[in-house]
Amino acid sequence: MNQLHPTPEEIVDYLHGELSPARDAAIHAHLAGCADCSEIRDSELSLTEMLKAYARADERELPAGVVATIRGAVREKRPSLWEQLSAAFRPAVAVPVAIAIAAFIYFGFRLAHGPAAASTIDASYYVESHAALGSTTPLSEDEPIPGALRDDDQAH
Amino acid sequence: MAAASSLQDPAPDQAAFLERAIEQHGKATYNFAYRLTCNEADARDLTQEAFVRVYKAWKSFKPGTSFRSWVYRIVTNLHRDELRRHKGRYQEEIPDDNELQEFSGSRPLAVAPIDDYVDSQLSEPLSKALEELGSDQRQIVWLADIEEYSYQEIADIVGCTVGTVRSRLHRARGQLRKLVIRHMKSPS
Repeated sequence: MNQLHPTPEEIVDYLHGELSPARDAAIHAHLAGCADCSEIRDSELSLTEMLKAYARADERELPAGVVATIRGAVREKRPSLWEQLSAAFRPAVAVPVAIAIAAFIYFGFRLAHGPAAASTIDASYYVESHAALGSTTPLSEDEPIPGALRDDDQAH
Repeated sequence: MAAASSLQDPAPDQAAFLERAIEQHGKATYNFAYRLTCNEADARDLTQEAFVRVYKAWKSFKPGTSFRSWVYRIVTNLHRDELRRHKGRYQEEIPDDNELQEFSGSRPLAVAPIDDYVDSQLSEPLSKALEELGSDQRQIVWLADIEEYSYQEIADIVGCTVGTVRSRLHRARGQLRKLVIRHMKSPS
């Protein structure tokens, strides 16, 4: 078999314009001088032409009933006002909304009242605690130790 | 009279989009569905369901792309789902991979004499041959040879690779040729 002949599959691809430009040109040139391959090409072409002729002859109109059924089905799918409202309150929407409202109220209240009260208590407790400590142990670790009261080792 | 607006123009609303789609592509979609099913009742059901899907998913259509490819893809997927749900409802498919490979890389010894029949009474044998072809193969032949889609466009519609389109088309054409000849020789 002559390896230069294109395969029948390649001829089909050629007729469908699916080859690379270089291969397309090569097959085009080959077909011009090869009776066997031209015969295959003509046979494939005639099959395609036959299919097209059959399709044209057997073309069907869209039945009017199909259009009416589509319109009817679409009308049924349009939600009514009540459906739109109930859709707004369905659990998938209502639950996250309720959680968000509850969280807003809770954190809003905390922001408005909670932190200020807490800082007042902490500050007063600290001041009182520090004053008490200072009065009972004036030379605590935090206070600098006067030189006269240091141990000898520390002094030297 | 003003020209009918195209689906590429922005549609004022969902209903108008649907009406345009039916007007411009309803007939082609019905014919495509008929080629898939070889059955009017199923073709009607497929077409109706496809356009209801178009209505529901109208916002996912990208202007500038081919609406017909999109609706054909919807029809293809619906048909595939239907085949899975009601196995055996449609005619039994001819398996893709169990056929004799008429074009298996070697050149045929002789070209099948289909040319002799082109101008004769081919409608009946061709109709029967197409019906006997598996719906996957019939679909590829229809899209490639009648609608003249590129292999890439067909791959997008069918949801497979270009290589699969190519091999299915070659196999389908070989099978179709054999079936037509068989029905020409022994009409029943």
